[in-house]
Amino acid sequence: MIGRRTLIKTAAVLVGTGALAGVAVAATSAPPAPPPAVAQERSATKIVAVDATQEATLAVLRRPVAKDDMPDDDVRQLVASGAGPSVGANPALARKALTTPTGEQIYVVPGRGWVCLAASGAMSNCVPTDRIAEGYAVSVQDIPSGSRLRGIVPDGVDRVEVRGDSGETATTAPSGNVWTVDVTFAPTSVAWTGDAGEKVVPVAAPPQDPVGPAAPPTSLNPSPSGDAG
Amino acid sequence: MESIAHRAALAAACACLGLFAWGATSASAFTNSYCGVLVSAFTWCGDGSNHSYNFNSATYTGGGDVYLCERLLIADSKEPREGAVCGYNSVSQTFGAYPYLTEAEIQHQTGANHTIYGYATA
Repeated sequence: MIGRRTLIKTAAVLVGTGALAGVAVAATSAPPAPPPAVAQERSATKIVAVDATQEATLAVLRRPVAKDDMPDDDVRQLVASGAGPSVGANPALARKALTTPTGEQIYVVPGRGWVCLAASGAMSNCVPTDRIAEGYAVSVQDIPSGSRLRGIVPDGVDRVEVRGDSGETATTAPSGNVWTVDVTFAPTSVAWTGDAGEKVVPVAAPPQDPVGPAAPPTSLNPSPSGDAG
Repeated sequence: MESIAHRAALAAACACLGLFAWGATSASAFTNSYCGVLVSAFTWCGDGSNHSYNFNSATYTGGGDVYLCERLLIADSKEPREGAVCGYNSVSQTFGAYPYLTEAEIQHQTGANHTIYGYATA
């Protein structure tokens, strides 16, 4: 039988341990608590085939998967880490769209109703499939010389133009439904003409100021209703 | 008898300490869903904690198209670890090994308020 004194000692040790742990938690949780997060569902199973809309939009997804299409480790890690929402993006169905002059590989990776552009340079951009035809499959990344823009365009687009605030332009030709271009000016829009006419989508270089833009920023593509999601 | 009980009590306390220690160290290998709340345009929404993140993403799944950015800051500073990546609806980036803890942040630049989701792994 355990004596009363022993029980008291045990309780004291456990309480002390808890107090220490509490102090440790308090000491390591200095930043203020953010609002309660609403976690995204992340357990979607991988898709097993490209869907009809994806095939109709992107020729690169209509061709058979070749051995060379298998994404490299960086891209597979990017997709496995959770690139995009949980839509079952499947690297086994990816197609390599192009290799940049710097040797970077860019892939088109289909998911459930979404399509991702994934680059071996460790970034990705995913959009719902139907937004590709509207021009919204575009991303901007900081690089030492300025900005690197990338995007996916539907079939029939043979020229993409990046525009700057002072009238600067840079053009490039897509390959495998994908385009990429580096610019030294601050990009403000991306334009191209496809079967449904010209599409012009606003973009902005990533914020440089860690505490926010110095000047009052201009909202991109203002939404008519506050929150749609 | 009391000696055995005393040792048992100490062992229990040590096990308890061990569990706390494991909990503290295992925080460096986990996934973190953050934000997921209404955020106003050009406001960074952060995860509010420090970890050795190697992946961060920003996602919007509502109607329309929202321009998003994601970045990692060096913990307890305003210094970005690397340049942010921006794009419509979902952007993400993986990061190589780094000797400092980081904080994950996301923002959007479209309209007024939108629910945007951050997801980071360490």
